[in-house]
Amino acid sequence: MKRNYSKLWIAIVVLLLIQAGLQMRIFPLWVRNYAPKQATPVGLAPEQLLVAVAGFREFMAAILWVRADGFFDSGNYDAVLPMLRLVTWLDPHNLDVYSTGAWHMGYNFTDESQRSDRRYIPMALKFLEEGIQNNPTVWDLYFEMGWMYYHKIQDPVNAVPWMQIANEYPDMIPARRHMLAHSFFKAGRFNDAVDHWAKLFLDAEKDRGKDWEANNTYDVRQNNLEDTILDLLRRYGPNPETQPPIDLGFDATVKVVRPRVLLVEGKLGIPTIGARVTVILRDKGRTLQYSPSALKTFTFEVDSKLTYMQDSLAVREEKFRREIDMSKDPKMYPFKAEEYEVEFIFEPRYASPNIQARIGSDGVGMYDARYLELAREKPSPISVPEYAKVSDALRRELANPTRETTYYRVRKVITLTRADILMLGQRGE
Amino acid sequence: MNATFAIAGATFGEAVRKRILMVILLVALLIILISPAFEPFAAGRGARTLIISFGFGVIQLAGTFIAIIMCTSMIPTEIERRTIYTILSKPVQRYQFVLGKFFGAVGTLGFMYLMMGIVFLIASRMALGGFDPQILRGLLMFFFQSSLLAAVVLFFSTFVSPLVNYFLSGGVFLMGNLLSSFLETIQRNPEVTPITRIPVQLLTVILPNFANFNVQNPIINPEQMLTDETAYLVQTIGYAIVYIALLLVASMLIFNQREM
Repeated sequence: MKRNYSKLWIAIVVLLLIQAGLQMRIFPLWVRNYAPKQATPVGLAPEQLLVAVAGFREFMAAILWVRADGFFDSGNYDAVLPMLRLVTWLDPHNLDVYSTGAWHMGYNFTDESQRSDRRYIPMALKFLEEGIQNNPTVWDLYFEMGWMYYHKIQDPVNAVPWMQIANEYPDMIPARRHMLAHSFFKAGRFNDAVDHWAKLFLDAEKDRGKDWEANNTYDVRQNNLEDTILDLLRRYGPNPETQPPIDLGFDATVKVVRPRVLLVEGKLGIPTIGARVTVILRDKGRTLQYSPSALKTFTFEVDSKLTYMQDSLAVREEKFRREIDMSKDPKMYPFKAEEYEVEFIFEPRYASPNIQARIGSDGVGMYDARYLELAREKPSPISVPEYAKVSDALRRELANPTRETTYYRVRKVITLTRADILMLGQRGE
Repeated sequence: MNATFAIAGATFGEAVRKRILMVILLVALLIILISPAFEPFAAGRGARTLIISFGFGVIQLAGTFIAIIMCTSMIPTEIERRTIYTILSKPVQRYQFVLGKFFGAVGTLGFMYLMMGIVFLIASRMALGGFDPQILRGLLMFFFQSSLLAAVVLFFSTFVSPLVNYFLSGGVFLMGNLLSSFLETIQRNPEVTPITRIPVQLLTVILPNFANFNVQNPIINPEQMLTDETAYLVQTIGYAIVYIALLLVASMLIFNQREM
């Protein structure tokens, strides 16, 4: 009997070693494929926090997401935010929650006049960054980050790196690849834009005739490639249509008409319709840092003391004018600082094509005696997540960006005091 | 070997006649069958997430309960009723008795997973209009998870009472579901000293790791790109088989030495 037991003991030891070896091989793959890549703010993984719901983790997340949708439909936007946090803890691989949540933060918190509360944008970027860390092998959230820069922040220079990462994924939706070319163009990287359109066009040629969608993609890419080359030739080739530069004669004024209500007006000598001037009012010396690294950790709390208003003013017959009422949204515009800057900017990168045809998309065809300035921009460095399907060359390029782009813009800054805006000592507060 | 299969057959027959197990199965089947009712709550991908995650949740929970309830009393009941003496007085070795009991339990789990799997596939097809073969992968892994749990429970049942076994097995299952994520968390934290890390690493390779089998997340979120998925599945199934063998040998060792 003793001999049998010793055999059993040997078998136990051997099996224990084999299973330990297997577990050591499985663990790195488990970490790569199944583990949440980012811990919750309390430093625990969702499994540890929510062991009680074990097998129903994803189901609980889905139910909460449905509930969040209900809050969104009823306009209870504040209630959506904690739901987003809970859902992403429970199921950090639900891409819809990250992309929709970031969109919600970036776009849907607005004042009475539908102006976005831009204090939420760094939060949206941080949320997307968390999503990317949890889902590095999927292109969607890199694209969403790029889109946030491209569309909401209107910063094509920082949109390009994220679009470049998304573009490296072979399963990316074909039409979404076009955004990299658009971003290159707006960022002033004209050669890269043409190269990318040409590459996309050659790719589409391979699938031409396959089905309606493939033919449509081919047509779109061909048109875009031709239009881009033609635009560049017209604007920057021999006998450019952007020369001689037009004098914008830019100016802007601001007047406080009631407490917290500003009347902004000015002129911009763009001869065609469609130009827009951006006006920003903010605490003096404080700019919003549109970067995921602006926040150390993710939080739903905005800086309740910061006032930041941004609006876009339409130019008609070379003039713009609008009354900006900030009196109905004291939470969004707390006016706690002593001094404020009102900044007026016209930049050509997001102007309509008919305007860009005359002044160029980098402003080479515009002139202003007082307010013209040359802006220089370089993308912020990006540390691409370890498991992202990105080439080493791009990884290195994004970690240490060197390419600088320039464009012309007109910009005027006016300083107001808190007493001016609140009309203290007058009829005001 | 015939004796082993005879015991396995008897164990299977006994298990499927157990009312509590059948009630758990029927409740699970009913809940899975009504899961398409979630569809109106969320459109498109949201509905898919709800229905698939709910189905997997119910199946995993039912599988866990069935494995624990079925195996806790398997050997102690035979001893209590003294039927074990009748069995062991025949030309049946003790190891054959343990093996037979385990195979009977696995057969029962297989039958129950088959039932739940069929209903789950029908329900998901009804709700989503298509058959997702990835679901089978999740079901297979849950089956191996429950089989490993059954082996753990059977191992404990050779030397502890059923009541203690419930808590012991439940605790091991809970620990086995947490260890990997715990180790991953502390590995990422540079402030954790080796004194803390090494014991967790040791526990992760010694205790049965049930988290390896929780592969449902990428099936629920199909956009995820997995690395070496086949290698992972093969190694995990291999791990389950080796660990089950380890527990069965340990059970035989203890059961052989037990005075009866």
